[in-house]
Amino acid sequence: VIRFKSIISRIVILHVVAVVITSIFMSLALSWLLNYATNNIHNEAMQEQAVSVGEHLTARSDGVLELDLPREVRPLVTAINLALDRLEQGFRIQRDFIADPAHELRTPLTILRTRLDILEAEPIGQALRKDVDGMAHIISQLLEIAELDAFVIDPLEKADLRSVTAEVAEFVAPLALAQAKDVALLGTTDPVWVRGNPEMLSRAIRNLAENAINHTAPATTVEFIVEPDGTVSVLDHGPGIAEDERHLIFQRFWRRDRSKPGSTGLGLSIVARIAELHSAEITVQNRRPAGAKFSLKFVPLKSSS
Amino acid sequence: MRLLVVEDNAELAELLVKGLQTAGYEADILSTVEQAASVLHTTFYAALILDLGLPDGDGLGLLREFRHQNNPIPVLVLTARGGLHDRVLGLRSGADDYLVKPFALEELVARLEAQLRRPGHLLGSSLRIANLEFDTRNRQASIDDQPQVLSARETAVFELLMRSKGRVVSKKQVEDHIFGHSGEVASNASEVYVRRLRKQLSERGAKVQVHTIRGVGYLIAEEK
Repeated sequence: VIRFKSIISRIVILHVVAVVITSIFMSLALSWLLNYATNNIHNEAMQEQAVSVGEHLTARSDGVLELDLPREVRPLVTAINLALDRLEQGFRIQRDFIADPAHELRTPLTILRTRLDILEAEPIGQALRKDVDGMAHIISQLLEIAELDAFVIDPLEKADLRSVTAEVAEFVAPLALAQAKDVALLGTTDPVWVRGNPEMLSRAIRNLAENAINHTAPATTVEFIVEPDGTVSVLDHGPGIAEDERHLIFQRFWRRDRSKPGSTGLGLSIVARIAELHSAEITVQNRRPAGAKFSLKFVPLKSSS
Repeated sequence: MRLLVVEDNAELAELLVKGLQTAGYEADILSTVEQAASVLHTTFYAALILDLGLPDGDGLGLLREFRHQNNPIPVLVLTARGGLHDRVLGLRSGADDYLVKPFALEELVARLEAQLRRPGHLLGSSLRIANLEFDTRNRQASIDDQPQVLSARETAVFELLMRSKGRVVSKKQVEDHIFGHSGEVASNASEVYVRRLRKQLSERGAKVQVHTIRGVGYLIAEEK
């Protein structure tokens, strides 16, 4: 009897151990899955993978998984599947939301702007127009960030860094001249092919350029330098970046001077995100006697490709 | 002179028409690519203001189709897509100019007029900055209403700069404009003609400045 009892208790213990080990293993695996899925929400490529893992589980849960599993575990798998479904739905909603918010936001702003343009109520009209322009700027930058969060880079895409930089320099030159500042494009005049999306590269460089123009001292020149190794640098003659602020400047909404109008604290975070997506290296240096130099080094393509 | 506004947001379309009226232009409104395509076949408009995000398609397709049929109507594109590279793509599809929403009405009218003052699309044909004037019909430059004699190449550079008021003209554009696509051009050719033009203008009392944007191009602006 004692022997029988101990055999029974051993079997029970074995069972318990087996169940415990299985459920620990399951919960680890599932929590890893969930973590994997949720922690990488900002990374579209990972999102896709996580969603496809979710789809696998869902697909299998209809047939094999739920049937093969012990009854006790089925509710857990079903719950996880539902969670993954909701996650997937969340991604879809986010993608759809980002698909065309530009139109939804910019059109009413244009209506407001045009109404103010027709309105003959100076000087209030002028002040209101300035407010609308400021808001339009913030909305543009928020849209850029939203787009970036959902952006999937095509690994085959390439861009000519030199011509993208020239486009940006052309675009910002009138803004600089209006503030009695100047821009110059230096470095190589040959095409510099790098991996990346031309529109995204253009946004990164434009944000560096606008930042430099805003900070450079009056009557100085903001310089763009393109190098054959895939580096573009933007140099200004402003106050430079203090050592203890370097890790802050790329954070969203960080501003040195909160009272300064027109600055959203988003520009450099856009640059950082684009660099990250393109595996580009950002460096920030101070110049002597004064000024900052921001460089982005993209992945160059061999001239033959 | 009638303009055509193709914009699917009725409220914005009405406001634009109202704004254009205060600047002296009459305009009709359409809201789809399909309507625009058929109306433009049968009706002459001096210029087209085209929104890109239309309910039945992308305005760029319509634009490419026109250009394919050699329809020379000046087209000013309005878009909610703010990208710089999008802008370049738009211009390559045949738009004459490109405005990102939201824009100032004043800017819309200025860009429109720059297009309407091309020979053949005559709205009065003169381009003005400060005390400078350029008549695109007889290609005559004047300062304080006094006609000026400039060489053919100086005139060519001057015209290009005046048409691109407020924007940078690239060195390549200047070279293409002076020399066409024929033959080799010395690397400093554009600089030489711009420098001569600048000297002529300042000696004759023009209150403008021709800026050189190093490595990029040139821009004409009122003297500060």
